[in-house]
Amino acid sequence: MKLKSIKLPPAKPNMTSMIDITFLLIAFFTLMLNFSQADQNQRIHLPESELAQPPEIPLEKVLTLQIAANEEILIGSTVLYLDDAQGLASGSQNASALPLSKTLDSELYIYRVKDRVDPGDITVIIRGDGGVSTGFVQRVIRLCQEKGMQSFVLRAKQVKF
Amino acid sequence: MTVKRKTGNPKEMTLDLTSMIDVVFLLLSFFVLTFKVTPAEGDFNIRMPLEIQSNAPPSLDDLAPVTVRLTSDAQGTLNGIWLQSNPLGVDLKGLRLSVYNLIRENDQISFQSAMKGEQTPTFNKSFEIELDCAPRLKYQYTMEAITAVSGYINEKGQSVKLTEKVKFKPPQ
Repeated sequence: MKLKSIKLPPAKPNMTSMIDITFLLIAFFTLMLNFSQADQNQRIHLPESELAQPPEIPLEKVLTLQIAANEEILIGSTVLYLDDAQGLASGSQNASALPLSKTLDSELYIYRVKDRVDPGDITVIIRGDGGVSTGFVQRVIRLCQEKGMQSFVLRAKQVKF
Repeated sequence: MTVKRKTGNPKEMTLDLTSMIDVVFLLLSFFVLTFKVTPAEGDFNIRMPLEIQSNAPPSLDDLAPVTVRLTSDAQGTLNGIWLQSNPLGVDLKGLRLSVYNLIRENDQISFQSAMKGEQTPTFNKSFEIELDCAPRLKYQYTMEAITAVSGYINEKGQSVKLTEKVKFKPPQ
């Protein structure tokens, strides 16, 4: 028996609803993209606090210092050391580490020349790891005080109890 | 002149969406892979100018800060809390209660009642706390102590501030 071959028309699935959903998903992810996370270093495990509140108005003129558990200080991605003793120790691990004091001087110089901001008007955000020693954090704060900075913000991870 | 009208069904116009869908899916996969839910962060504000050594006697308006001393063992674990000279063990809730009793202005409202959210006492705004922390103490304990002296959250979920004036004792 001879079979008749039937020519089917090409399949045209309706993609409209799928594209709609895809665009919605893209819009969602684009809106949720948080550029302020640039300051957040994944190595820093912030201590938790139920009372820590995000600032009511965004802070202006800020300098974010991140302190890792191994007493490494970071401004952005630049690794810094507090004093010569730490610099010698960290030098063997990270040759590109810079002294914090000189880096603060250059940051403050930029603020002073470019934005005409006094060091006293700059807020220092301390993102310290929960495992770092308090004495080290205090030494970092002390150095900032010596450079004329007065306002400090201790950052913590918000938890709900 | 007569215009010829096309009769019958016009040819269906088709748009080739393949490349657009490719790009859209690429974008979508990029966003899905780079998406990260980060926990919310909050701040404790500390105003701490460098103390200038002065021979002038302090004015009567300058109340001496109340010292909270935190000690640690060699591993940096909290092993003692002192409010002025009163030992409080390692009880941070006890520290909060002691600070509450020190700075409330009306003695009638108990801490238990305040925690239930039934009443909120007024607090002495000029009260300042100076943290004297052991150098080895892990920063997480310091932040817990700052949380304890800064305020409390009552059973209604309201945040009540005890004091905002917290500072560190200068390292020796």
